[in-house]
Amino acid sequence: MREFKIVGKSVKKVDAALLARGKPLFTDDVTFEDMLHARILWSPHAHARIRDIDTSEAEALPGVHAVLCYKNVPRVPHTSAGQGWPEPSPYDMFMFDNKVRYVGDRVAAVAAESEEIAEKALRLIKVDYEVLPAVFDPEKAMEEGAPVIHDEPDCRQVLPLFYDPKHNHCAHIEVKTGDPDRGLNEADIVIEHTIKNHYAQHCALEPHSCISYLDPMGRIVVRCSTQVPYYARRIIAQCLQLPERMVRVIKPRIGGGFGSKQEIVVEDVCAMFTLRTRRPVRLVFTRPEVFVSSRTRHPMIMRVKTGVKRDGTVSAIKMRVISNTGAYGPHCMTVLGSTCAKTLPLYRCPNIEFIGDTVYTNLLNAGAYRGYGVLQGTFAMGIMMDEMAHAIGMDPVDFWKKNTIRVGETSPIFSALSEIGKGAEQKVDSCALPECIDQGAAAFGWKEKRERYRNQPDGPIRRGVGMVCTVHGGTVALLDASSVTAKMNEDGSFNLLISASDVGGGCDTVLSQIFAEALDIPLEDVIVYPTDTDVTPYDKGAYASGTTYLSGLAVIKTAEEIKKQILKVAAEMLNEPPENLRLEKKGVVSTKSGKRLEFGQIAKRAMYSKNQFQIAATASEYSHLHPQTFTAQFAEVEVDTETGQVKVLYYVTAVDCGTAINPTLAEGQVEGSIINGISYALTEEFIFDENGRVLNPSFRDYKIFSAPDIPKLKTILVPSYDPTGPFGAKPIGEPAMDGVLPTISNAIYNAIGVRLTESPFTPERVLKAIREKRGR
Amino acid sequence: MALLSRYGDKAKLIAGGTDLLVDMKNEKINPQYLISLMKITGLSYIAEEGDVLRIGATTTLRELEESQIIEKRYGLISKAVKCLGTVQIRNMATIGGNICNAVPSADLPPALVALNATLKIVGPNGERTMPLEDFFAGVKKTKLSVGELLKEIIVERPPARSGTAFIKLSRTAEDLAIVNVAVRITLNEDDTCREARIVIGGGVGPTLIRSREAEKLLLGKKMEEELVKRAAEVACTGFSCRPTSIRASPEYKAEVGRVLVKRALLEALKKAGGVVEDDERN
Repeated sequence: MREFKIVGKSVKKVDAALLARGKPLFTDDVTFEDMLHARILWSPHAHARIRDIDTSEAEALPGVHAVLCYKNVPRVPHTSAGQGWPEPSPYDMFMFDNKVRYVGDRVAAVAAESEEIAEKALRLIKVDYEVLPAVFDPEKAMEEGAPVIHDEPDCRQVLPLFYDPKHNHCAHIEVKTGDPDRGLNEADIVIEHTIKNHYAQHCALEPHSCISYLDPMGRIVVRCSTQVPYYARRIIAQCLQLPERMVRVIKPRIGGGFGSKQEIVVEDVCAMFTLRTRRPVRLVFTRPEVFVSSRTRHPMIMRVKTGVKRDGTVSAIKMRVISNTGAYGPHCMTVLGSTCAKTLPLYRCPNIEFIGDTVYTNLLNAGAYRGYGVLQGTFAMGIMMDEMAHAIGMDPVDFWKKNTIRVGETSPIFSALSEIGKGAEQKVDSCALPECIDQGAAAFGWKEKRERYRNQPDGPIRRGVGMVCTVHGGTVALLDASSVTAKMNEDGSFNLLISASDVGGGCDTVLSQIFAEALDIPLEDVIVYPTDTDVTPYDKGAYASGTTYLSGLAVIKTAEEIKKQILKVAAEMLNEPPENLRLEKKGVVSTKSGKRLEFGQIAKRAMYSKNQFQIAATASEYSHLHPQTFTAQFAEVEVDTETGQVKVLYYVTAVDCGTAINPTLAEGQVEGSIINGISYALTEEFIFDENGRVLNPSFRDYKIFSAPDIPKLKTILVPSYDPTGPFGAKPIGEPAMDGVLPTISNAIYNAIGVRLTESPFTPERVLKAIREKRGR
Repeated sequence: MALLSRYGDKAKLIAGGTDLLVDMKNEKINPQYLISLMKITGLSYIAEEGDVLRIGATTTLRELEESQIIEKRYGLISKAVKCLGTVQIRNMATIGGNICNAVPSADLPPALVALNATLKIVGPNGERTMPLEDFFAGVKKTKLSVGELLKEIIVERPPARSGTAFIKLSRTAEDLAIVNVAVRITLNEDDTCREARIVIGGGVGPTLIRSREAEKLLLGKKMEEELVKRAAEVACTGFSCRPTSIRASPEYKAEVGRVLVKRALLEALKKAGGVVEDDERN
């Protein structure tokens, strides 16, 4: 492992002081004198055709500048999913349609002098609905004769992928490796469970926000809270039927995304209003709108059957998954694909069968959410592993160690499937999972606690422990790409122009550290500028845990190009061959003559003196494989068997993320994931009425954890180095979140002997499970 | 007072605003006038006079929480207040607001009823007092007449050989209660029950519930666990929960209500110095 100067140090976030001082950094922190305010009219019906819509009264209201609905916007089938091109998500969305497909779907929108006027105008819009039968159960949605949610003739898959909207069936995946049936026959014990996760919202602090305006040239500038600025530009241009050159996207500071801003949710409408009115327009969601009309996590029904031999070998895994994408299909296929492709390589089992279907229903629109299918798959497999260990009487720690992939090994899943089709051969280049298990178990006190709780006295309050291992492959291999531009200034500092999108996680800091390390300069000499599609080069954006890894690789490549140019100028100045020269502390030193030049001298010479040119470079990298990040997670819980309340007392996460470029930020990602995960496991839940309407779209009724709820956490960054990553780094954004549901389920099982296979583990559900077990 | 009688029901009194402003924002209510109480001096105080505690209506919850007097001698209030919302909310919210807003899930009223609190109400016709227990008329409804306002809450000090307990069950620390229970037990010298006050809140009905029937079961008897369990069951028979509550189903509320009442009674009994049956949790 290498010694580093800046990499591996917990330097302060480059934007920390600005954020702490409340500087106007976010989308909605700016305003324009003649700015209009947009509001959207939402569907009150889960499924209805709009026979007619009368906007005349709304348009006549003083202060109203434009009203949009299906009658006056171009009908452009597209997907809101911020993905590469062509997208692997069906083109099943329209800016406005003459059909609504869930309670909270877009109907029309108004731009007016104030939000109050816009709200008033919305109430003046008369909509004539033909209410259609709705379907909320994904299994019923697949039945013959179910209401067809996408009956429009122009919805389609752009790629040659399975798509059968006439049966509400929008993705289908089948993967088979080895001989799963033989594997089951050879097993000593076969275990079967149906495991279900639930809908959830990302709850980013900043709502979806957009302000758009025309520049003096008549181009549309869109300032928005997005994780994917380049995809946003492409999709806005698509929806507005403009060439990309007419759209400029600026991403300021972002108050969290977690996947919900990997979608074009407000930008298209806002930009269309600007195009129509020639005025700046602001569209910012309210919290209820974020809950209902942005995006959510895919609930899945997972039927899993696994075989295990007495010696502790897993002999077969069969997984049958039905994923509910709600009314539209952004990410519908890729989330399902990840449930297989990015989850199952963890297991050293040759015999795997995965059959998955994604289904439309008249419920909330699912999309990308931290975990992205791997969370669902890990929920199922984490429980199955625990059940198998229990069935053969093996300590889960030993069982996980025996059955998880090791460094240098490969999985048949890698080549069988990627997110969007056939996968790529790859092996595991680095894996410190055994160390994660050992160090995590030791810090947690696994053996002692298991022993202690096995012998705990009877009583209504029971304690227990559970563990799970996770893997999460980062980036979308072969498709995701990142580019970085850097240029040198007279004082030897650099502008680092990136489109890697810091949404709060800290990639502006991490990428600056990587650049500074590569050129041996202090961090303050890196002026990072994120993202403006007119200025910063193409990057996929913030998703698939890929920024540190992929954009980090592009940063190193760029720094290498810069280094070549610096050495060329220095060689001229010193009259020595470049081979004699090396970078040292913001200067160039000759190993022969011992002479030294400062970066400032080199930059000035290049700019002003001889053979003048700008020392600058742009370099790109694409993802060659899915770097594999591993975690081992341990939870200690207390279950009140009389109230059903579950309390997490202690949670330990040991992580192999390769080199942690900034350990504090890496720990922050892990702790954030674990809190996000525990909150999802215990309290977060959408409640629907029988008509598919969300009853709790507010923080008052949809509870997420806040500071007093957070248990004692411990994060261990296990030393590791990935040869494919930037300075040995691997992804960290999602992997820890994947394991929380099963870890808590396993701990509850250990405490009370009751298996919870359906999340969330609310007191009411836990109590019901206890009663059902006693009743048996 | 003049403003209140001039504007009548077009006006709303505002103290901390932590409930009122949220309701206005959500367009549940739309008062034409707001009359602030926060600039009236002499409405915010915590004063102990012998065996009586007087609390001014605009005293903030944070002030109650930080009061040494309350912590030491009226621990039940202290406990209930600490379970209520977040520090930010407690900095703004007032005891008067928590009572007069008459939300069935409020945490403070059950504790105050268990302590036999009375209210001092002022209005156009002068002053009157009323037991807090009789004050609530329904969801968000009180027995205040138009033009009246709550001035003071008077709490009696628990007699000797008393024990109290407050238990709240909620989804997260700052959430409203699924069920909350406040009890006060006073024992005779022979450890039999001299008085029991059992109050259940958290949206188990349009108002909080005081279960006199369950209290009667305990009177004059040794509070053995079986009896306590039976009292808890009786206490939770009268629930009429909203079936559409987001937080929990009526069945669940009834079930955990029994558990919490039992636990609260046993805890109070222990604090009162009574013989505690083997607590199975230890």
